[in-house]
Amino acid sequence: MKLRIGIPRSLAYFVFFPFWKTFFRSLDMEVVISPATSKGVLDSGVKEAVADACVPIKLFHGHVLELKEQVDYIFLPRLVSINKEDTVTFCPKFLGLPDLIRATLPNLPPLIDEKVDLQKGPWEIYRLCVRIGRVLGKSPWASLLACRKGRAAQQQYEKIIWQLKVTPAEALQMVEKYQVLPPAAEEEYQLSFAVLGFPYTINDRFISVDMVKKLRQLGVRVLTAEMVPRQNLLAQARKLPKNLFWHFSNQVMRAAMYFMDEKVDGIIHVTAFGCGPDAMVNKMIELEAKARGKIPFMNITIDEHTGEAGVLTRLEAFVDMLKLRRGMI
Amino acid sequence: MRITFPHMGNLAVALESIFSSLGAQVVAPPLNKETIALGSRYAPEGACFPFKLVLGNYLQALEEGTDTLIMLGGNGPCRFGYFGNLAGVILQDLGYEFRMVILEGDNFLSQIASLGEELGAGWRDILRVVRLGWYKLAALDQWEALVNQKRAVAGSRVDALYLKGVTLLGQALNINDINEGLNYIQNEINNCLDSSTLKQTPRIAIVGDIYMQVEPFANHNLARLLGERGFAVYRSIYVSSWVKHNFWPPAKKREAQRLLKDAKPYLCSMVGGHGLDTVANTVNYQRQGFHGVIQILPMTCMPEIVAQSLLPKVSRDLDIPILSLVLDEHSAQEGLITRIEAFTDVVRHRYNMSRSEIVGSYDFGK
Ligand code: SF4
Repeated sequence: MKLRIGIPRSLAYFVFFPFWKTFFRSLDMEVVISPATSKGVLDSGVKEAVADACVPIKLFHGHVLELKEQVDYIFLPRLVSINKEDTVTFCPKFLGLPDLIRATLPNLPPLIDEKVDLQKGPWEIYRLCVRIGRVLGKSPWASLLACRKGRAAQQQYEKIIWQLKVTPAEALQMVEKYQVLPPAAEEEYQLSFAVLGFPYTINDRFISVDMVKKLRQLGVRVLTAEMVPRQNLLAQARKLPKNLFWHFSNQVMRAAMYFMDEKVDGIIHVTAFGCGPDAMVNKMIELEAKARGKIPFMNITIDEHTGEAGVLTRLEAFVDMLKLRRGMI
Repeated sequence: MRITFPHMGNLAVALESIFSSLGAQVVAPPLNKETIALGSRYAPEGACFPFKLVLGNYLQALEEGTDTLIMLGGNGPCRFGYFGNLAGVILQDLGYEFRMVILEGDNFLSQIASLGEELGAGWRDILRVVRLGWYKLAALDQWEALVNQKRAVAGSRVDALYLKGVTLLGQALNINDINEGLNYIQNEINNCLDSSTLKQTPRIAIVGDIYMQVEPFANHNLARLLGERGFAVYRSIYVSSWVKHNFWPPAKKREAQRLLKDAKPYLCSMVGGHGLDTVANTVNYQRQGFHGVIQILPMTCMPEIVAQSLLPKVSRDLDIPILSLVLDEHSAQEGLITRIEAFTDVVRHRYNMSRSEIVGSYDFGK
């Protein structure tokens, strides 16, 4: 029987799933993803995690629990860096994630918790794959080949996102179904919003109370950080005095500046309750928008109890305000 | 030049000494209720308590006409390394005019030098005053450590001696003066007790976030609260030990290796701030026979939350009572005392039990 590798449908899943799915499949493993977030998943995570953790980390506990009985290994790499940028790493909770999960959730299947530290150089990704392959009893050669296939799949995925301007969640669906779905027609939208936040909040339909869909129904084109080509984000980085230390927050901050340059109609920053970096980044975006004059900005914080109705009301009010201002209604 | 820097335990004394001997006017507002009120009004709500105190302090100092703000930098991923930048944009938005100087590890001396140059001081003077400031800091930290350990047996006398020491340091003009003061105060403190009583005091170690540990205002004077209840208190970090481990590369490397080794298997990676230190030092204190450990952290502090999630397992595996105290601007001292006392009761009970066992077995033999 094939070995089953469990991947929690949360946190970095939205960033690198195509790579690892292809990698493990090429090594002849079965990939099992935890089900989409539901109230049950969230509740079980909240019950186990420390009370002071942020919502995404609590939710992650829930996803790991879903996989517990079903798989031979849980894939939970320690993310340290995924590009060459100096002093950029991940939030401390990512750095300690495997330890944290191990300490709070007893009796798990073994974790594959290799360190992902791509800052070390262009070969590190191959070395990493060989290390993981070894854990699973595969030859270095097989791992290298699998790694190459993984990279191709990942590139495809990223290209789908910024060429078709779809969200990672949508691109992942296409990847899963092996088919490209055309995006909605341009003229349906009257406004364009940048919806910025962590990939694991915005693309999780449950935890984000399906905000993206709601906005589209209100006639808003949704733009996310992933849709901005990498070099444009890097160009924004040069305008900031100091890189933020957290990869995802950097993406958010840079995308915010990029979209301000592009003169989008509004910016919505989706923050996670209890998130350390967000508290700072939110203030910085707010002040930047203010300093540049009238760029409408709204912050929506997501927590365990975020109600759909409340968010919808706020979105509607924001959209109406802008439409009024533009004389659209 | 009217200069200010954030209040952070004994660091203020050192920086004040450095900048005033360079000829700057130092504005150093105290930490008080107003600091908290100002800081929490203008800081983002989810920012950590230390940031709110730093921001509040800057606002107070700016009202007193400060034009230069000093801040330490850092390489994260703890938010501390971004304090200066964020405070800068917030204060700018409020309409203040000032210059923010962020001292990063690699440009520390050159930044001080360029400030010194503006004040008309040469390299020599700068090295001299930095050295003097460093000695003062180290002396203060040594006394504080001593006071924390002996308060339980010697009572408030040691606090009075400590204050006397601070005055002495204020007057010290050179390193000789400092050393004399150091010897004098150390002897006096040691004279307050005979060492045999010290051996019979249960020991509690404080670990956790650096700011919360070194700033008594932020931690409601935790060390004293414990001392008054009869515990010898040890702290995992002092400003001077932090400086040593941060600005001196070989020491930094050695310390990092030690931490990784001690924290295994509970935490196998640096997580920024002092998260790894907290886990490693807790393990270490247990090995040294401590009777309890208190982790102190500000709400939403990421590295310490990682540690906090791991400590219950450490406590179970190594059989040592551990208390995690999460504090913020709303924490009241009464609530804190209740929690501390519940914890110290446990520690004391276990301590008495263990002693009676030892005494019992000896008696039995004879
Ligand atoms: S970045 Fe924020 S939301 Fe994400 S894990 Fe860290 S604290 Fe939580």
